[in-house]
Amino acid sequence: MDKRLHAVRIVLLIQLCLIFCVQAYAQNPSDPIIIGDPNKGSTGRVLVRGKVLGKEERTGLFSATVAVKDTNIGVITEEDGTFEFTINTGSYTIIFQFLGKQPKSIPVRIVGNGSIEVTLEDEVTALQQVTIEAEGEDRNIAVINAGVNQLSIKEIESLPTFMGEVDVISSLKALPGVGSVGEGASGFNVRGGRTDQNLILQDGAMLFNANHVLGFFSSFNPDATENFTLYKGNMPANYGGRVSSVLDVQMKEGNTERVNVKGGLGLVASRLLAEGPINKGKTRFLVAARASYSDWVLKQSKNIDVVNSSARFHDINLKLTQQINTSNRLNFSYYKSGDYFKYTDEFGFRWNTDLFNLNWRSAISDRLVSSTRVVKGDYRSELFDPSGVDAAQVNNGVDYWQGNQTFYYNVSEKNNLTFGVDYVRYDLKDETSVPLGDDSGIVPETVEKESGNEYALFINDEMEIGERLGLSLGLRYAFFQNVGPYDVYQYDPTEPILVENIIDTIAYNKGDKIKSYSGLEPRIGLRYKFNESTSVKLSYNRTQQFIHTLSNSAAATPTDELQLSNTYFKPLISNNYSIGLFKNYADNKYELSAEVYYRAMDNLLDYKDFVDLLMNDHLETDVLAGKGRAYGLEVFLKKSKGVLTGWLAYTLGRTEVQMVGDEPDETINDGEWYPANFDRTHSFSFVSTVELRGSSSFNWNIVYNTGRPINAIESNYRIDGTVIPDFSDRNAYRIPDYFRVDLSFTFGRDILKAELRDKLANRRYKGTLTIGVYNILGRKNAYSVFFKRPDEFGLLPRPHRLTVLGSAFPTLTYNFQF
Amino acid sequence: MAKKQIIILSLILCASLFGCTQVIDLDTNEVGGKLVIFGRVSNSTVGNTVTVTRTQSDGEDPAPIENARVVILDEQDNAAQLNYTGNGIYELPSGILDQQPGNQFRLEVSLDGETYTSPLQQMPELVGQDNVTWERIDYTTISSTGVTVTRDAIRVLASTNIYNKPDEFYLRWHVEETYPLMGAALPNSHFPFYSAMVCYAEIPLNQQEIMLLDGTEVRPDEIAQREMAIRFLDYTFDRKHYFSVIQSSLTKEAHDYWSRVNSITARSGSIFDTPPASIPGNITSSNPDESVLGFFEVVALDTARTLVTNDDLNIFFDRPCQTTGGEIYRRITSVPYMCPACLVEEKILPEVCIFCDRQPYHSQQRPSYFE
Repeated sequence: MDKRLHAVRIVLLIQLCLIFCVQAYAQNPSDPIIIGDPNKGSTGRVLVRGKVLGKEERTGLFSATVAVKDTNIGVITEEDGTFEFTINTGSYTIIFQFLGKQPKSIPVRIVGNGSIEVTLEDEVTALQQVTIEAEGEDRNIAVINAGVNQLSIKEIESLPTFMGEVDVISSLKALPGVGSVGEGASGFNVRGGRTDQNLILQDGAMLFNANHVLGFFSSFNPDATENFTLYKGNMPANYGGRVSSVLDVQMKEGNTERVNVKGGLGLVASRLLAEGPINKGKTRFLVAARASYSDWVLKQSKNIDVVNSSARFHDINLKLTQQINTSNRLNFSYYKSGDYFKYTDEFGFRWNTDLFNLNWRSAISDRLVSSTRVVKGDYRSELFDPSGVDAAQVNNGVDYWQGNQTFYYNVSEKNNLTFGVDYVRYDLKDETSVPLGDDSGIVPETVEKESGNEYALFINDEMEIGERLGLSLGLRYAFFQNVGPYDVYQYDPTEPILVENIIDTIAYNKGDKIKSYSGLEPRIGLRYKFNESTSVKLSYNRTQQFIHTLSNSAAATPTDELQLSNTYFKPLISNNYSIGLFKNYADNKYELSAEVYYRAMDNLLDYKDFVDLLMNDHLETDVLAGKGRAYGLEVFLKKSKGVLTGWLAYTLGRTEVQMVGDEPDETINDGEWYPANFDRTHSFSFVSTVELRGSSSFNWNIVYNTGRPINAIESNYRIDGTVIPDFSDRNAYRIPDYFRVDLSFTFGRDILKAELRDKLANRRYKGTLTIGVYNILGRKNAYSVFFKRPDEFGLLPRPHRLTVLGSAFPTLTYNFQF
Repeated sequence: MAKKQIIILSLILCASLFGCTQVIDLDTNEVGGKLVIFGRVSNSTVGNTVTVTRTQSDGEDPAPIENARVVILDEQDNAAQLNYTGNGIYELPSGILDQQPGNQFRLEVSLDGETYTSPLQQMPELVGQDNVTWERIDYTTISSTGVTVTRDAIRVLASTNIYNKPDEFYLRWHVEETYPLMGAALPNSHFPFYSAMVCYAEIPLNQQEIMLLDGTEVRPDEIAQREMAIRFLDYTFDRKHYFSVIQSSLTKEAHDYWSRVNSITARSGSIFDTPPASIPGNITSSNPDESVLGFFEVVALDTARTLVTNDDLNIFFDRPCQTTGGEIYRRITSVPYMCPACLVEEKILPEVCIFCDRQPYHSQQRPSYFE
């Protein structure tokens, strides 16, 4: 059966490849701007001069960034906005960026010494001509790696959102291949990966929990976020440590021109950002804060349990940028976030993150740039049960250090080399349980946790071979060491790994090596451009993961157990394959892509039924290791220009797990493949914005997903009068399908009367009002289905649908800047 | 629209945010045919029974099995065969086995050529003493439509003194109520040979709530007073009404089993729920391909009671078996002569008023503690 499936997959891949090849002709390349005199055909290096102007200021912009795509050539403009650089003749894309301005990417053909003048528009007014691409209109065609989605905050800020909060992670879920367990659930799943298999980076620093209010909002303040890139297919070799995806979020730097203030007032949270220069622009600062006041909303509920509940969060971003000289720049940032969630007097969570991040970027030569980063992170979580004889507080978390040295070497105009070294030190916090209150009979307890060192060397070479072929070859060597202090239980080798079969304990002291793992991770990406608007891409990459999050609840929770690879838990290994066709139409106005992926995972952890993972010092007895596989087709159609912009995404996918052990309780579903609890066969999203006038727009989301798998009741029985349901095999059934429509309107000053609009035209203060309705159809989508016995005596348990957001929900947000 | 109206409208819409639960249809394959065996041996003279049933494919209650041979054996293999009492229940005759803490017992059930056995279970020692009280309260609930309903109720409370703390101990509590039920008084002229039945109802309360304590994690000397049950006032409080809090000392395996039962019966569907699964028990079949549901437990019981009388409540209740009054007399005497069953068939009186012993948990046997 497996062979037949394998054959079908190969045939599908070949067919897709053939379809792509047939479609590969009849393209219209866009005309680039010619720099230099075409009649004096120069070769070799030439001088390009230029000026970057602000449209509103009508003057040159000081300290704007001018970068040549796919090279390491980049300069900062002088006080009058001028710049110059030397470059070999050829075709390039030049990217112009300035904080507070809409960035521009301009394809050029450099044929000799010449100049270019570019005008950048203010960010708010730039909405009139929405240009989604941050790095070239044909980036999706030209970039070598498949399965990369890059979005800017501008693209998502007017989309309808829950409570009006612009959210990075929620918008990711509208992309193909990305999903989650349900509304408000923590984290996201990428191409069959679990939530803990995503590497989430904020300016290169790892985040262990990027969620607020469990999972309703993400921890990224949209005002302080520049853009974000999701690598779900081929990850470049400089990324590692997680097997499924990388979400690389770039935060803004303070601007060089003047102090700007930006913020927003929403129904449940408000935010404020201030940025500007300190020392004539050599030092820049950015301070952003966000806090919720969501408790008042809970008080409006009719449900007494909700009234007695609480949900609050805050986050703070600080960033200082010091331009030491033209070649050296230092960035220091601090991020702090805190959450408090309490459900009546039954239980609650607190979780906090502190992140210190220091980055030194240095241009050693025209061709070599160095980036050095040191990060100190601290994630703490707490579960508390405030009432009863078992009132207790359980604490866990992780302290970590990250070190990274990366070099970017521009070997030639068509060859960029990235190489360096990564180090992560994990110190999992000992898990403690302490009694709460005088009536608690809980015995204070501590479960010792482990430490680990993860080292990696990496090299990645991106090269263009001829006009059509692009190749990305990467290799990462990862080495992990599980170290003491830690007590490792020894089990009778002739018996199953169970607590009753512990025969000895080996105590390791601080720094003692307990177990090591290492392995090579090849990363290969290949792109063939049939023409300027069509390319096909293939990728293969192998990834390893040495830290896992163990959970046996439907969705991830803040106190889920972190577990390092150790004597009993081997590293998770994933082999990821994908092939895709990328095609743009109508001068890059429309982007169409179709990708097929397949992922095979080894040493995937899953839980045994009914185990308690908290305060458990023998997790190896309760957690199983098996195999996982995910495969699917992603179709993505995006319109980037014009009055109507947005995208349409469809994923046909399957994610399955297989657990086969020596003992009956080590085998799940008789050893057959079963769907993962976030598996969704069909996922569809349609996200769009229509320009109404100026900065006013009408936006909508339409989302459809197949229901996720669950265990369901197949019969009932009574034990001592208690009706007990007998459940099916794991994930044998599915909850009803999910469908949601959201709408929002954003109003700018353009809707005002002409006289008033003219009066305000020269004012720095700008504001927009977003009014929307989340789930406008009021559909009661099932978050989960559970089985409950009705109150009447004698009746049997019936399936109940739990809806998290079961009504149309209004949003109201006012954004401003001055 | 006025600003105030906008705010009010927003609040109303906000209030509609929070989730709800609804019964839905889920297309599942209802699979029956699994044997279910639950047995309990205790240090008490009552309640030593084994129930043998089989799940049904139509989603209904399991069907009772009456042709099984059920035997309880101690560690010396002294055997006691249980007697079938109906409804799938087999009862252990008293006086055959020495049911004391420290002694071990196992279960053996023979049915249709297969044998179903449990491992030996040791009866744990008693560790705690409960003190039960009650209070009268106005119990307020908010219906799903937002209507507040307040009713007279009794709250049963218990505190526990843990006087014996071995390294490991596991406790479970359950609550029962006991009250007498007098059958309807019928006119001698029409029912000359009829005499009203007196039954004693011993009804478990809150059967879906499993109250457990793991003495390895929680080791208090005293467990403060806590709510054990809420019971709305009705005609059953017309006479004496006992509430019994029964404390069972369990084995670790039994505690694990009831914890699992609790984890799948007390569910809200939230993200914190662990995914449910079929609960494995400690009974195995001689056929390795057959899975058996249920559990055999050996427990030590300690019962504490509190009594509520009508004098304490000072309320007059309408009795369902009341037969005084002209209209009811006319209807009672409208049935055939000497046919009290006809009163039930004609729905003139509820069955409990004539044949109270046919009701679940009702018996004519007076409990020993009922003065």
